[in-house]
Amino acid sequence: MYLCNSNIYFKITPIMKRILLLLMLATFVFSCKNENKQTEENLDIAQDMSTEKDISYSSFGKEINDADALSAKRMAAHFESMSIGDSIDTKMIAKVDEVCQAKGCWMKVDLGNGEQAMVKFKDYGFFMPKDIAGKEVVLNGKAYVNEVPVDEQRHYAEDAGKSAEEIAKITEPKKTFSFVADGVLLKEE
Amino acid sequence: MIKRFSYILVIALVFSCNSSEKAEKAEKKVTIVDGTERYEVYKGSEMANLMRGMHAFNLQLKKEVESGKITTEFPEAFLKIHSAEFSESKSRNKTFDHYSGKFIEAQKLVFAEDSNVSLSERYNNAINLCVSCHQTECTGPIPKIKKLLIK
Repeated sequence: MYLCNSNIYFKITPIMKRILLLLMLATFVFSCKNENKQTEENLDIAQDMSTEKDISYSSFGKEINDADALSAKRMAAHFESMSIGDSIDTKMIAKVDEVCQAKGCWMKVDLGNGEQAMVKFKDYGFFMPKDIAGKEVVLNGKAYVNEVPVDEQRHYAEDAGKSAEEIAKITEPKKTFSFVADGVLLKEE
Repeated sequence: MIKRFSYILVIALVFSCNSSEKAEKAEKKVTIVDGTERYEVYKGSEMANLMRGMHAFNLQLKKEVESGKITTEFPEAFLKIHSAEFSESKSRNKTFDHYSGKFIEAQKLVFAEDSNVSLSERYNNAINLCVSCHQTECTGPIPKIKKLLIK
């Protein structure tokens, strides 16, 4: 038969070459795609710096590590599902938005969903540098949801250097995502 | 020819697998240093250090009150509360003077031998004055102070 003729079979070799080349290209492309998918999943579960190398941290309070820390996005989802009075022991990564300018005794971190978490340090036992806004931190401790009274909100606004006008605008207790950290790692650039 | 291409295909597959394994195996090198050596952080004013001392003293005193037997005396060093320097961002005011005066009185009463009020109540009164004062100015240490209360 025509197709079984070995001479004809070998005569179409250039076409086969192209097919094989296409196959090779497809193999490479698919293997790359798979790797990317895995990386994205890892980012969500753990942290977006897991693939980087040679990370340097400054440690404050109890010395911790960055293993199994939740991303801010994941932590935000936990916070959203919690009610006032609920708390969980956890570790999270977040970007610092604001630090107490009086002593460095609290900071606000970005949860990645337009919300912030108010971070204080266990037993008032350590303080953070005042100039770390924009930097990434790993926090270990207890996340909880509480209601912060007006007086306390105004006190924090004062510490943050807010104007009298801004402070006067605080008139209602606020449901707050809070975190008491016993250890903090500050990621160095 | 087909055989050659088959070999190339197999080699390509093996190498693509190897490279992903290598990426997984590559360990990140993490270094952690003491942040207080690298950064300037708040160390505490004369007043803050005095208050830390007061906390440590009352932590010990709590145990004695709970056991019903006080072996210590009122520490005269506590009177420095009327003159100690504040942190840069804070200053002495009427509210502080009011509460600090009341606290010293209450703390002295813990050591009074002729009181009709129970020892634990006198002790808690002194601690509650610390809490009340901090609510007006510096709320951070409140959870730590509240742990001193006898329930």
